[in-house]
Amino acid sequence: MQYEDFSNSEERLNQLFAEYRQACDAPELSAGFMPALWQRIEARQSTSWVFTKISGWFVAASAAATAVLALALLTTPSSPTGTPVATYVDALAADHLAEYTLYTEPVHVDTIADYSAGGIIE
Amino acid sequence: MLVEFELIKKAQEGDAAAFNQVVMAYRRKTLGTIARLIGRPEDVEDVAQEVFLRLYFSLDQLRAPEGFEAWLYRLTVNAAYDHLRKHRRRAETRVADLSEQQMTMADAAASSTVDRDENRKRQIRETVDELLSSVSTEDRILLTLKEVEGLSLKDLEKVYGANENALKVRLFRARQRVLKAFNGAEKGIKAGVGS
Repeated sequence: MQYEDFSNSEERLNQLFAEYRQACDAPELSAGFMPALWQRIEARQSTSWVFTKISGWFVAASAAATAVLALALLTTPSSPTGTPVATYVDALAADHLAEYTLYTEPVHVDTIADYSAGGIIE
Repeated sequence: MLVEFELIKKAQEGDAAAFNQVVMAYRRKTLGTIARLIGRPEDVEDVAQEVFLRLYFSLDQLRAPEGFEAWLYRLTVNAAYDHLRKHRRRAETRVADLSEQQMTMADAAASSTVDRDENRKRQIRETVDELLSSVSTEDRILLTLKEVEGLSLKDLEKVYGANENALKVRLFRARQRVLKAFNGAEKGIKAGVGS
């Protein structure tokens, strides 16, 4: 019985959808439809033209800034000491020399005699 | 197809006259679909303009002219979806005022046959609109395309680019929800008549 009710409501819903289809007739286009459509197309085209222009300016400006920075980097000396390092091998060698200076020999080695002279060893 | 492939190709190349012809050929079909999808005659033309605007700017992305109709359907569905989402809150407010509107409509019904017919149509549209509000906007559109537009599962597969089984499951669930709302509404009406 309940199944029958369910199937009936299915049919009534189908009927309602069919009536809805008829109730939603396609309206006729108004006379101003096509001119309004072309106006919207042109408006969007001009907006996108402005965006293209602006992005073009940004590209040009960033290219100019890059060129200026590159030029500045080329003209500024890369080493703070004023002795430019030509190659990677030179850089390594320079670094090695700096490292080597850490292990320099002591200028003076204290001997037992020095201690005894200072009164440390009696 | 309502137009030749050549015309679509010309429109793709930027021929304004060809584009106009395409719009004129598909205007009635598109307006009808929009009317059934959104259920508000006063907004149909506005949504149709949005559809053809999107068509104009996306036509170059269409690879094969054979797929034009499914492509246009997809654009129509998307524009209707955007419109429905935008107006959902407004629609919810409207449903709350329905009883008052129905009273006003009942008073006006006596005026003339044309008015009566128009009122009945409006009542049907509002009833279905209310029933379809029980499902999500996505499901509302899917269900309308199947039940009202009469699209087959194969057609829906082309429009959505989705698997047929997935669409079947989604349609079944959406229909069950609408059916439940429909039964509830009918019970409410019967209870109202009985009291």
